Amino acid sequence: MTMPQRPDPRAAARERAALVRRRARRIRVRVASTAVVLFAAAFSALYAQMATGHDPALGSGTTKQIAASATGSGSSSTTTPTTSDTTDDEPTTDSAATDDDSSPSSDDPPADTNTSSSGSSASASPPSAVVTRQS
Amino acid sequence: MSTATSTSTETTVTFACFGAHCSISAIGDTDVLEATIADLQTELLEAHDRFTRFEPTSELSRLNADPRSRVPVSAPMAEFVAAAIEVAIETDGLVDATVLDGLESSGYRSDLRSSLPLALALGLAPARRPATAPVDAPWRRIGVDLDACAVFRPPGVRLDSGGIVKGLLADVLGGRLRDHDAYAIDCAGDLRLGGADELTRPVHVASPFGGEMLHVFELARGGIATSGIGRRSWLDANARPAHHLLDPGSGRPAFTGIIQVTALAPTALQAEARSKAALLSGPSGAAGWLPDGGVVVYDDGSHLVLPERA
Repeated sequence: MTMPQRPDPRAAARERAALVRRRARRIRVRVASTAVVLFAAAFSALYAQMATGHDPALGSGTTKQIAASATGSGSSSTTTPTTSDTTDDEPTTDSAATDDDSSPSSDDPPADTNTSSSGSSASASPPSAVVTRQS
Repeated sequence: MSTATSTSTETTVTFACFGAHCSISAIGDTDVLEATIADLQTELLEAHDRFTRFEPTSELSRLNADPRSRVPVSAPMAEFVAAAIEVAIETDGLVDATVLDGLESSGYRSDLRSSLPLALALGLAPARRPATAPVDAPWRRIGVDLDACAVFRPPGVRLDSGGIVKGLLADVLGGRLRDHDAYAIDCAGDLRLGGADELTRPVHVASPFGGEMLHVFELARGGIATSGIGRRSWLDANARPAHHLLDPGSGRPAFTGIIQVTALAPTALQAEARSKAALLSGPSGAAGWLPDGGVVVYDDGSHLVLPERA
């Protein structure tokens, strides 16, 4: 009669260690794959947005620059005081004032026409800038 | 000589229309302007419903599906068809509103909300070449009676309103505001400026790469239009890059070496025609379509500014 062989404790330990290593490798692979996929998705989304001219850092462009308050669903409007000389044929616009600062931005409070000056102390400002881009 | 100063206000309304955004801006008496602009906004929204090809019940869809050779239409539709014929004649057939079959077979059957990245589209695009116009194009068989409001064309010849109707509407609406100090109509990319006081307005030209500003024109009046392939592009059924500007000769999206053109012209409709004709003509012919100025953006990202005519 032969005695039952007792499992080699070293072999059992090696097997357990191998199991732990395999599990750790699976987890590492899973974490790395998830990170790569998430990064690729975020990068693609940003790339597509930038490539189509919608740089998120720039906001949404003209609409927000000139729009201040909503007037109904899907539309917005703003009113900006502009002084013009109604009795002079010459334009009162300062043609040198061409940078973006000449147009109200989304950070500007909406101007109230009731409070705008109607006297000669009001400073002249040109019509707001417009942007042309492929729609 | 100036003896008195009065205050005017600039009123602007921006709203979604034509698959993009439209805005109406004018300087003048606020009480009058708000009512006028509201009317014009309503008119634009109604025009969208009339001219969209994505709604089977729109007047354009019904015209395109009508089996008769002579089709009674509304006055605005008759004006659009007349404008489409005029644009085709003026551009030697390059800007052709009858390429709808090619547009649909390329995959443009619904309103596009996203676009293929431009760099990817250019990388996959075929060899660049200028577009051509066939001598027997269907638009040559279209007629319109503006008095009787009727369109004549062989059944099956279909029209795409495209940018033509936007330019036309910008001009029409601009006419309603011409007595105000200054106005700007932005009809989904087609601009019309003007006004009684000849006030100069900065017009920024945006790059198709990222949207930075390429140039600023100083304009008091006239039309401005920007056409390009940077937006509204996609992969077709054969994984080829496609966009909405077709080469009438091949019926396929045109890759000419130019990705965007901004054109200045006396009217928005003319600017619309010139910008598309310039893009379709390719680098060697583009400048010839821009006698009043414009900006041409090439595939490599470089651009050419043609200053506005004084």
